[in-house]
Amino acid sequence: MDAKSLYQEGLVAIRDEKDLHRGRSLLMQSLRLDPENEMAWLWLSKTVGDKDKKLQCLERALEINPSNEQARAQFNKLSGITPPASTDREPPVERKAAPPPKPSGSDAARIKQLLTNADALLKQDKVEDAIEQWVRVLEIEVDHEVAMANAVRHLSRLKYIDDARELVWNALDSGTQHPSIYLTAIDIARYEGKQDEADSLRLKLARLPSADEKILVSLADYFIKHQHIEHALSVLESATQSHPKSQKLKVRLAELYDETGRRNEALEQYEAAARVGAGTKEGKLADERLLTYMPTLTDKERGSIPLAIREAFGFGAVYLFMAWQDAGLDLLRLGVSRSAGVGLAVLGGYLMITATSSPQQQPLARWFGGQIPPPPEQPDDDFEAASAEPVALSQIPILPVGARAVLGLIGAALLIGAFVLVFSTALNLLANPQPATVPTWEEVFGEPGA
Amino acid sequence: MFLLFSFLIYILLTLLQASIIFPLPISDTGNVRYRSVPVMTLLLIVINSLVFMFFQAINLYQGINMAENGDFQEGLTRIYAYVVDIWQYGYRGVFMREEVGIGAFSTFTSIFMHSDMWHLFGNMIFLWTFGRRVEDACGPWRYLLFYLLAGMIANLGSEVLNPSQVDIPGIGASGAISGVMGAYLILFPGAMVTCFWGIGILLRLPIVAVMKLVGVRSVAEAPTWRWTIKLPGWILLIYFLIKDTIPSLNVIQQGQDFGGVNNLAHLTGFLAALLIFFYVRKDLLTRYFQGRRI
Repeated sequence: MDAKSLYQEGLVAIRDEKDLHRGRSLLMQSLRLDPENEMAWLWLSKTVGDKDKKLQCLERALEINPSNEQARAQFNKLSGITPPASTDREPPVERKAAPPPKPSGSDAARIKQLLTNADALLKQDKVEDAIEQWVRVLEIEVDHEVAMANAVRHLSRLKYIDDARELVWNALDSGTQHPSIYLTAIDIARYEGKQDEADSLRLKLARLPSADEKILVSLADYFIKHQHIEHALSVLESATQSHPKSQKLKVRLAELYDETGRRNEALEQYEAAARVGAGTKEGKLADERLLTYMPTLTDKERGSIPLAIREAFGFGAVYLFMAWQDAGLDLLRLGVSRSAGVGLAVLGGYLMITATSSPQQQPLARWFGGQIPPPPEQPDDDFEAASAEPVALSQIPILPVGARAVLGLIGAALLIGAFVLVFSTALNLLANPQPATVPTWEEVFGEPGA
Repeated sequence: MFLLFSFLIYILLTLLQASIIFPLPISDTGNVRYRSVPVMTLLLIVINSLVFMFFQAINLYQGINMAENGDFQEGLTRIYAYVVDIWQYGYRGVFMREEVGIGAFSTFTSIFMHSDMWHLFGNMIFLWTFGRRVEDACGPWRYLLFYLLAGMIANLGSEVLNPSQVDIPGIGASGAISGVMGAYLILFPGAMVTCFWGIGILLRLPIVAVMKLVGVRSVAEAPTWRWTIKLPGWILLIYFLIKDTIPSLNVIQQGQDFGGVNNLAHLTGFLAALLIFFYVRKDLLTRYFQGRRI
């Protein structure tokens, strides 16, 4: 028997037959033929009772492949120290900067040929030969998705789980960015009952830029279902950063914040989701949820000069209609002073608004030496803090109180001045009354008065 | 106590009588999001009521009472004083065109005056129904500015667009309130409004009863009899708009103005609502134009 067959039989003896003695014997025979099989060392560690021997096996496995997470986890668990890592091996996936290189033109042609061969062999029911073709593809391109999916599927059917695992982990160790390979690795870990490993893979998958919205939501839902709220938050927080236009992720994160009592953050996420677009299902849902919150201003709205000027035109409109009436109901008779009054009203209104409802216009507030407003004080009482209305914190400067008071007073003075100008005739009538005709007693009652 | 109880019953019966054919809105059903108390709406209701009670009602109702109880001359004198007040402080084009009386100040004085209790009551119930949420959308001070602007535009429109230039004083908050109603239509087109509506209530009764018998789930929890009925706000407001538009067109085209209800002022006040976007809150404006719920 060759090393591989001995290894497979050893695994069957350990895992299925629970015969550790026979399993150990077969694995040792396999390792004599192929001492570089890290998985054999790993499984061998499970068959020995002595802690030092276990550590020796795991250390060998890690020397061969320092990024073997199972071996590392067990080694750390047993020893509490980090084993020496050889420098000639690939670093683990987290530290890997670049994904595996794409095959060159000739390699691509070779891959195509191998895949065709595999399909043909599969049709002839030569599954093991087909697997061999896919494995060859993976030797050229370690994370080829089609080859990986087919190879793992058929290896699993044939109960060669460890071989499947090896293929998948080779791809993971090489820094693959394909979510499908992570999902396969998670399936294998789940199949083997390794929940911690599966969770660790899920967290890594969530950080992949290529992980799409559907995968990220399902990962978060998994963690929520299993009460790993911190993991779910971690997944969704990184996902909303990598997918800034995804309303679904934002709403999910907002819901989770809401459930964990973080209403401020929930409000921000619902707002962000609704701002992406209110026409979608998630946009409508976010908008619906926001009805239970007091609306808050964004810094863009706070800092907007056009929005403040718009309000000033509101003052201007009132003064314009006042002037129109004072000019004998004739707009063409407004004259210079009333027109100036309307202009002053817009200016005075703008200053008044700047002092009151829009004190954070940029760059105005910065020019006046404004500071970023401090966050509001949280109530000491936990219950009050939890029930307090969420507030959106501002990151842009606000006009100093003194400047606001001065602007407000100037604005009020301008508005009063504008009133005098636009209502000049009416004010003059107060000073110099010109009585208007009123109906006589006779006109009202149809008979002479007493 | 008996008198108060009788008065309330009288008001209720009168309301029911007035709302048999046409629905009378009494309250908006929507939630306010910024402030729970509509301070300015309540303040406007109080000011209108105080102006009427202490400036007009004393002369009007005491005069009627005296005239009915034998002191005819004194009664008529008081009623005459009430009429003169309307002519002095109501809105008259002649004040501005000929620069007499209180001039353009009448645009403000007129919108706080009412001809009788029912005029006041009708206007205030509409102000309460539609003003609460518009105030919430604007904030109290901007809402006040908008209210005054709508009142002014209503007054101005009733004079400028009326070719007859008949010298009849205009009084009442209805022009300003029409502006508020128009703003409500623009801002909350999908809102539901609770109404007194005799026909509607009577029609609802058999429909709900049958639906309950059939087992329609949506009405399972609803009471079979209700004193009020909820109607879509836009239907009511479009109805009021049409109701004001037809007579207004008569006035504009033919110059036929015989006094009474100033539909032209209502219509122009309603159109003033187009300026509401100068007065709404910044964030609400953003949400509105994003097509989001406000």
